[in-house]
Amino acid sequence: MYAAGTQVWLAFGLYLAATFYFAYLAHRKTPKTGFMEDFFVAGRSIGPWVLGLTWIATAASGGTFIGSPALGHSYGWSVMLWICSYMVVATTGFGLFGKRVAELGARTGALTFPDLLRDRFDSRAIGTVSGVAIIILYIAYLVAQYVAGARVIEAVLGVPYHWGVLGFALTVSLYTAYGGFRAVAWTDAFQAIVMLTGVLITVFFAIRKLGGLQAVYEGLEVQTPDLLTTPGPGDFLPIPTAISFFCIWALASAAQPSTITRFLACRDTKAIKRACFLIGIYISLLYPCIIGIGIMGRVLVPDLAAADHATPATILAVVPPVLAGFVLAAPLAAIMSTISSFLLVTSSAIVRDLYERNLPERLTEKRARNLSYLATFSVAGIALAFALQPPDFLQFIVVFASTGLAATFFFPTLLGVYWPRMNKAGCMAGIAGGFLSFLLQYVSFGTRSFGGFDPFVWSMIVSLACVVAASLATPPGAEGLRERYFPKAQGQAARPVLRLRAIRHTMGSAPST
Amino acid sequence: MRSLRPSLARVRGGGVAAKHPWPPATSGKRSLTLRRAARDIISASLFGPQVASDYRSSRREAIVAGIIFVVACAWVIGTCAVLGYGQPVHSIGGIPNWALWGIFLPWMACFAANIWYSLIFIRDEDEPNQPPPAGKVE
Repeated sequence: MYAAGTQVWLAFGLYLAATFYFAYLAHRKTPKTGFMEDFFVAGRSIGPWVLGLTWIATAASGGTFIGSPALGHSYGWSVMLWICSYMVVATTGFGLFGKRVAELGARTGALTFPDLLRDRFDSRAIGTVSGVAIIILYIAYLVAQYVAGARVIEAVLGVPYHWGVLGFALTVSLYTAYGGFRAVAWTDAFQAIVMLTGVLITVFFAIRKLGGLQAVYEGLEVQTPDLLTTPGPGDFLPIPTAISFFCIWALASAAQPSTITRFLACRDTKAIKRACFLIGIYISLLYPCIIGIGIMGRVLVPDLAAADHATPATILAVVPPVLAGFVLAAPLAAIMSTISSFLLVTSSAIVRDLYERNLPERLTEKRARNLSYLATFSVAGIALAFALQPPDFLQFIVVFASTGLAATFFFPTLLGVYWPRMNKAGCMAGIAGGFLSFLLQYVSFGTRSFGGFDPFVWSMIVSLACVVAASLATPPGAEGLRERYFPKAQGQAARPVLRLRAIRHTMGSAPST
Repeated sequence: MRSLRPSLARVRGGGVAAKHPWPPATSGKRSLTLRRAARDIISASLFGPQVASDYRSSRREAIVAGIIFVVACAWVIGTCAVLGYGQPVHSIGGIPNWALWGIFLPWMACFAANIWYSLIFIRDEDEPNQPPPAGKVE
């Protein structure tokens, strides 16, 4: 524990009260009927601001606020290269999946990510397999978030680790179950604002206290010049690893079931466009500043009990006490928003994908409601049990869960929504190839596989090859299914010759009348 | 030549010839038309025109997002590999030189690209979540 007073406790209390208030407001808007659609995708009514903020709040996790600054504290400027593919995250995330997934979701009625794949390929097995994969990997991710949250509470407030984990599990599962997706989205939006404000305040006070970026540079140079260059101390980031992480952050964020679910809930194309714009600004402010906190923390508080304490220790070292409580809510907000989103995606995988879609008839409203609540609390309880024995390296658990999911689902989803020739066999082969190759490499080589690349890179290539080879080697899917997902153009204007002639005239002289 | 007029109007994105009389009134409008025409040529060459407009525009947008990703990756990794990794480092305003040219400059470029992409390039669909009505194609 570094320092904490009544003001910090009070600010935490106010933050939690505001979060529950948003959940309450969301619950009041819940309609009496259509529970499943409202609980899991908020009736497809999410507008641009909430869509953008919930998307980024889900993507920014405990790893972002605790693990990344910890790496910045340990390895200096090289971590800026490690994280920098966030410069394209908005474009790739929204460009590759946003509009297309939103269109298909509304057209087919998909409520969850496995729903989307299952309906696209008309395969119960694909829905079940993807649901099970989500449950296993997201529980691992939830464990990492509980650990991160409890460590923040432990460092700042002196609350024992086990009580911190318990408090996190209870608080987040309560408001997630109470308000469903709408509550998660609204609280995410509030938490995203808290996160950005907290980070900007910290960076402002840290730079002011240190006397500018040049002073930070000189402070690091005095400690060890390796902190200023790549690959960083201890060969932290060789070039193949840098390439790997450029792919990981940009593509893994795009293909997360939790972020794809956001697109299923959005209102229209305008919401996608504006959210993409908003997220571009948000990320460009947030991520360099987060790593900056870790780097400046190395100069301000070089000796820490654990590297994961870099964020709270830096905040408490530079931010005036009257603001510190509010700023310290930023990492908690990141963690809570990710937990709530993942809880909902995992419980939806249980209720919708493993249970309801395998029943002969639809669930009644009451039963769906009870099962959703039960699934949410059960998943929270399982993750809590694992989190009580905390792992050593938080960030690598996050990387494992996020990259494992992306390696499993990126190409099956991407080609599934864009390639008409892809079929059920291709999807299953892509999922199996990606997951198994990732698992085998991780078990055999850890985070550096062949050529020094992360297992994610090779798993993506294996998954792509499996999708293409299996799809081409087997008959295409049913014509009706393809027509539903890839409707043909109608009318004369679709003919290419006419269009190209018209374009030629547009670019050349004016046609005679 | 007269038979081309409806197609030409659709290329401009209007769908109704009366909305877009030929020739365009100003050079600015012509420039806009040329940009749309170029975009449609690329789109038609890559994908063929036999698909509905919402699917086709989504696919085109995904391709461009992929190109932005690849260009950014090449810029970042290439520059950092040349200026960092064993090369002497010096400060430019408190930022290591490799980080300024290899991270912050491409980040600003990607920021600008995202603004263009999100506000201009992504096409609005009137009813994005519905199948396109008959005849409404690019």
